[in-house]
Amino acid sequence: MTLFPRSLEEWYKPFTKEEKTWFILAFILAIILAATTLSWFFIDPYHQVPAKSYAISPNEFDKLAATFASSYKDKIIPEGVDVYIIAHQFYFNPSKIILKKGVTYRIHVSSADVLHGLSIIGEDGTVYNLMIMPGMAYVIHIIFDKTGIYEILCNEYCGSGHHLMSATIEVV
Amino acid sequence: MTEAGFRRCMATGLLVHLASQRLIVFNFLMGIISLIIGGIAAIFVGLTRSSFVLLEQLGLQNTYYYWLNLHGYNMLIFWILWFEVALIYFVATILLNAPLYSIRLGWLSFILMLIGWLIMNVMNIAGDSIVLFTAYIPLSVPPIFYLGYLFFVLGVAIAVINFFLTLYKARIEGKYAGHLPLVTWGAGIAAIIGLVVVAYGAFAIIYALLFSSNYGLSGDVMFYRWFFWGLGHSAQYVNVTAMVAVWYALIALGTGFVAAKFINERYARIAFALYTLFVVPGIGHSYFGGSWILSDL
Repeated sequence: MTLFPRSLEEWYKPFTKEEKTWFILAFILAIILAATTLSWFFIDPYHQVPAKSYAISPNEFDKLAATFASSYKDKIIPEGVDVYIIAHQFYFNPSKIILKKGVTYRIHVSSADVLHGLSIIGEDGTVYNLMIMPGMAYVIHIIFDKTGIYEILCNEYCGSGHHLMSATIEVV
Repeated sequence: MTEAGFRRCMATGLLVHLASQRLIVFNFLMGIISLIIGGIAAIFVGLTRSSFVLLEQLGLQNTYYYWLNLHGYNMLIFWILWFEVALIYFVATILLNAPLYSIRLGWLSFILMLIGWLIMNVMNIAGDSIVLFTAYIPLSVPPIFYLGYLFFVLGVAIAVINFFLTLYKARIEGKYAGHLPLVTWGAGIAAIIGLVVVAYGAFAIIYALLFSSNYGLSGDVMFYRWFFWGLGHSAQYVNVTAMVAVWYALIALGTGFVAAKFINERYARIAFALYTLFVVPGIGHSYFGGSWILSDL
C-alpha cells in the first residue's frame, strides 16, 4: 500500500494484461512522437532555413546595419547583397526592407543590447523564428516565394517596449 | 506507545514527530502564500491582456509585464519549491515513523528560503525586477535580486540534503523494514531532480549576480541560457513528479486504503525512473531557436 514500507515480494507484482497493453501503447506513442520530430528534418527540408553564426561586437554590427540601412533605404535590395538587421530596445534597424521574390538572400541579424526575437510572419502564418543575441550574428539564407508584406516581430521579452518592436519586409 | 515529541495519527496510525511537523506546516504555508500571490497576479495577467473597461481607471494599463513577472516567479519557482520541501519532509518523517535528521538544518533551510523569497518578492511587488521568469541576461536588475535567488536555492539544497540524511538515518536505526513506501520513493525522485535544479541554478544565478554587479563579466548570453534552463525546466519536473507522488498518497488516504490495493507499484516505480532518466535530455529543447546549436547546417 502506497503509504507504508513494503517488502519486494509485496510490491513487485507482474503486470496485468491491461497494464501491459497501456505500457506498450504509451511506449509506441513516445517512439512515434520522437521519430516524427527527428525525421521532419529529412521530410521537409524546404522549410529548413540553413544558418551560420559568427561572433561580432554589438557596436561593430550596429555600424554595419546602419551603413546598410542608409544605402538601401526604400530601394529594392539586389541579388547577392547581404542584408543586415540589428535589434535595439525597442526597434529594428532598418525598419523596412524590400526584397525580390524568388531570390535567396543572406540576412545577418544581431542585437545591440539585450536578447530579442526575430519572428517573420506572412499571411499564412509564421515563416521564420529565431532568438537574436548580442555579441553574436546569425546569417539566415532565406528565399521568399510569394510577394506581399511580411512582418518582423520581436518575440523575446526585452523590456517595457517589447510589444512595440516591429519591422516590415516587402517582397516584390 | 507514543514517545515524547511524537503524536499518533488517528487515521493511519503513523507516528508524527511534532518538531518535524512544525517545519512541514511552515514550508507548506509559504507555498500556499506564494500560490495565492501568483494566482492574484494571474487574474491581472488576464485582465491586462484584455479590453477590460476599468483598466485605465485602476491605473493598470501597460502593467502586463509587471503581473507576468510576479506570477512567473511565485508559480514557477516559489510555490513549487516551498511545497516540495514540505512534501519531502513529510514523506521522510511521517511515512517512516521517524524524525527529521536535523531540525536545526530544517530551520536554517527555512530561514534562507524565507530571506530569499522576501528579497525577490518585495522587489517583484515594487516593480524593480521585471525580468520575467527567464531573466535572460543582459536584461538585468539590481544584484540583490540574484542574491535573494541564491539564498532561496541554497535553502532548497539544504532541505534536500536533510531529506536524504533522514532517509539514511531512518534506515540504519531500523525505523522501517523493507522498501520505501511508493510515495516516499516518488517524492525522493522529485528531490533528486531538485538537486539538478540547484546544481544548474547555482551556476546561472551566480553568473547573473556577478554580471549585474558589473564585475567586468562579458555577459555570455549562451552560458546563462544553458544553465538557467537546467534550473527552469527541471523545476517543473520537480512539480510534476511531486504531484504524481501525492496522487498515490491521495488514492490511499481518499479511499480508506481500499483503492490503493490496485496500484501496481512496479509499474509506478518504472514511471518514476523514466522521469529521472529523461529530465536532463528534456532540458535540451530549451536550447533551440538560436544559432549556437544549429550553425553550419
